[in-house]
Amino acid sequence: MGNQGRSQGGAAKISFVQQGIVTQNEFAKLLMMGSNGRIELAAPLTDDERRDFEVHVHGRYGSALALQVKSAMGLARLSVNSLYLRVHFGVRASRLVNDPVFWYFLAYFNPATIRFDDPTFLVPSAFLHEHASPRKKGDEWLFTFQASMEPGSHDQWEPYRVSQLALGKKVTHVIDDLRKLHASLDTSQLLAMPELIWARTP
Amino acid sequence: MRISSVQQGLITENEFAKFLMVGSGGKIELARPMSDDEARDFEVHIRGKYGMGFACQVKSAMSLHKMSKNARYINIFFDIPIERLVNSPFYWFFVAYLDPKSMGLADPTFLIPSEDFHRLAAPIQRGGKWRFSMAASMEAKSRDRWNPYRVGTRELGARVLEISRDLSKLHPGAKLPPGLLAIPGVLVVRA
Repeated sequence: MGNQGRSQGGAAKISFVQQGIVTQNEFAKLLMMGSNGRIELAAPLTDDERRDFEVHVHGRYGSALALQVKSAMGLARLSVNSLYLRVHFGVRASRLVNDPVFWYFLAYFNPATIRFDDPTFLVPSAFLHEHASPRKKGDEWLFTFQASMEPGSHDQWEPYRVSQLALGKKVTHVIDDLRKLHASLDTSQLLAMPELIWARTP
Repeated sequence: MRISSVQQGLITENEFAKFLMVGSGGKIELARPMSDDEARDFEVHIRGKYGMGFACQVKSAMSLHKMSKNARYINIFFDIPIERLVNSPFYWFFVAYLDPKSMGLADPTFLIPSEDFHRLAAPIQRGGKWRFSMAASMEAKSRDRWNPYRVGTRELGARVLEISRDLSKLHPGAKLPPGLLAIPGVLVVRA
């Protein structure tokens, strides 16, 4: 559970380890219930690749999505009426993964309601690494994700907003899109093969 | 398609753990037994207080029953082999409705000592098993037999801290060895 990137507000007293477990379980619950049980989650036995979950649609092996969960237990006020979810984390340069099947889930866990507040954010790794103020320090990349929680906001993270009750369906769509991407890549590779003969039934 | 009973069990257990951890400000620690031979889902203790914990079994339903015009009830049925029935002040049941719409536990939940649960949940002995049926009103104004055991989800942490403190007084380790007070010059100081 070596999950960095968690921040706590003054009110929260639970440990970072407890916060990590609680938010990962909350995320797993929303995926299971929101997909009517179609999404299966597996927690890797080791966290060497910075994945908290491998996620796949029930019965469909070989098309899994890897997910890293990041949370905060407080919000930052950056202007009079704007509350922001701010998550800082570092990744060793050698372990940075930019892959279409690796995504981040980021959310504010409200200690008063004891669940996530909307919106939550589901972001492809490559986009997050490019836009979350990346800076290199020694052999580590440092990131600061800072997204508005306000309903009318149109910041760069707006396309990745997801209501927590819609997470199950959203992740199912992401997995479906990735399957299509894999299928089209495989076909284009076929065309490059020498001496390949195409046959079609009438 | 709906979630499986395995998913339902796991989600409800995780919800229970979440409300205890966060609701107690991190004071409550939970541990899952490596085997489920004793029908315990969690061992619960206050951080740093070893040997003073209690066991908890989690039961849930994902639908409510309308038993009269405006009364929704949670119904729970299960069997326990006679030889596995545990009546102990250190063994409790947690019963909750997992609401598929809000994707979380609904208020109220129920935290019931095993002795009370086994007495009140219409026990029937059949074959080598005890069958228990709990039907508790979810309505705010209800005064049914399960009313004393109601707890709001956000009060669960505080309630379990209270239960742990009460149980620590009953714990064998909390009792003084017989004859200790008879020794001259012995002073007993308790926090």
